[in-house]
Amino acid sequence: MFLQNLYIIESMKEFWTAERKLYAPVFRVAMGLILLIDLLTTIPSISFLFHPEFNSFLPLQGVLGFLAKYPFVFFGLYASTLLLFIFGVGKQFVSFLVFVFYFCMVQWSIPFVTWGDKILRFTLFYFVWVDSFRYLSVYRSRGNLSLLSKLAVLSIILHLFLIYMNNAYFKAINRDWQLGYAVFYSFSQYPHFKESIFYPIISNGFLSKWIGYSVILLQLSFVPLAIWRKTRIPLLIVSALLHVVMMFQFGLWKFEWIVLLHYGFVLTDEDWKRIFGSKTSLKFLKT
Amino acid sequence: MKAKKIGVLLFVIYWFIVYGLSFYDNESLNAQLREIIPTSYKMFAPATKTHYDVEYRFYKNGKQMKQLVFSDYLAAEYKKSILKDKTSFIKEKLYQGNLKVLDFNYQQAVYAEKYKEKPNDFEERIVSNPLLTKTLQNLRNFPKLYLKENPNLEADSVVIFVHRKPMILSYTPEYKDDFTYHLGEMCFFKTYTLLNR
Repeated sequence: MFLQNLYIIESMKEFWTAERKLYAPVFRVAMGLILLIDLLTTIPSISFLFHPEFNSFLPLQGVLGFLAKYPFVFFGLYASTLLLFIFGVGKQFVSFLVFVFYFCMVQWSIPFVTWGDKILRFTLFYFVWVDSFRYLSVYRSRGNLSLLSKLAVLSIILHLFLIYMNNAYFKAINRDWQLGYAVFYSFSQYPHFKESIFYPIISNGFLSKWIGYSVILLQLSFVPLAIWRKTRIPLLIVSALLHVVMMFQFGLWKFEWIVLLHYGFVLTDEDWKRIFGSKTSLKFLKT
Repeated sequence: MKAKKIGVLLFVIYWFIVYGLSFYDNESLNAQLREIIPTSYKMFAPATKTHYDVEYRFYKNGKQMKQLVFSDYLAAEYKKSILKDKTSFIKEKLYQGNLKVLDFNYQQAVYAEKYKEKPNDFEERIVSNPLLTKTLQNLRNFPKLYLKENPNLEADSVVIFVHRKPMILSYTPEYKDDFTYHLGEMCFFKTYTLLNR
């Protein structure tokens, strides 16, 4: 019993104190690209999104109202900032600008923000303090990671854990989830569900219910399984597969990518080296 | 060393508060705090158990020129190109996304009328609730956008019908333990707008 307790404490200590230098640069580049693609694909909507005659949700007053009058200027500045962010130019100042631009975009997009946007808004705020410029950066940082940077990475992880714990809790007390109907209703919201390859599975009462209960179980066990080193990678693979299915069925590619990219922070540098081999991973990052 | 300890202490206090508040399911408190701290991630679907659709009838001098069903319009938009998916997604959310809130208020008004013998205040809710007012305005905005996209269509007014259809569980079709099933499939809201053309 004592040894078991000791093992749990060791696992906890390993998770919370491990180095996490390798992934932050990858997250910066990948997230920068996703935001850039999202921004570019929003351009065709400018004609109605930023026109009060077609969009009654558009803020007309304050700073946001002023900026909304010049969407092309805003989009140009935001895209340029994202490019600097991807290349690691301007370091934390540019990270802060990305957060500010993204915050404005979310305020303009209230009717169509997804949970991914809500998650990312806070993650980008925490990421401002992360030193992600050791690799994949034009100007590299050197020396040890600051305490602030370590706490910021831990904040991103704690935020991810909070999302899972909240979701598990609110699902568990929701009647539709308790009855096992929620999965069918969720899939039914999307057009072409009946033609989907998932329809035979989801429309089966037994399978549909057990998928729902398994999702709650997965979310309930996410935190301990992520902390325990032996289950960390298998857990992330299963969770990632679930999000890939949702990406294809629901078409919410941005939301799914945001969640998938968050998983990378759960893995320690040792985990990444175990996956790719220490030489390979470092060689890739330094190029 | 002292500064580091204070930093870690502040970090622990911050997350202690965030975790504590996140499980407290209070809509008004969450609305106040959600800009500052992550609160209440109740991101589970289903957001609704009802399908919605909007029908637009365009008129010129009293003669119907076109009948458009929004879901058909969207399906055609999504088929255009994968690069235009985001545009279609924005249109879907702008012009259809909040219909569940409109319907929720309709359900509440009918429920109160039926079971609590209160007057049906649906119209008053639309006027007093900014979200519903904007939703109604966007229902009237879409025909203007459609005319801009289709300059050959001539119309001076449009009548708008908002339809609801509860989802039927394939494996328990008799399940009706929700007020949405009591209302059933129907047009629950009708409005019109004049077009400046």
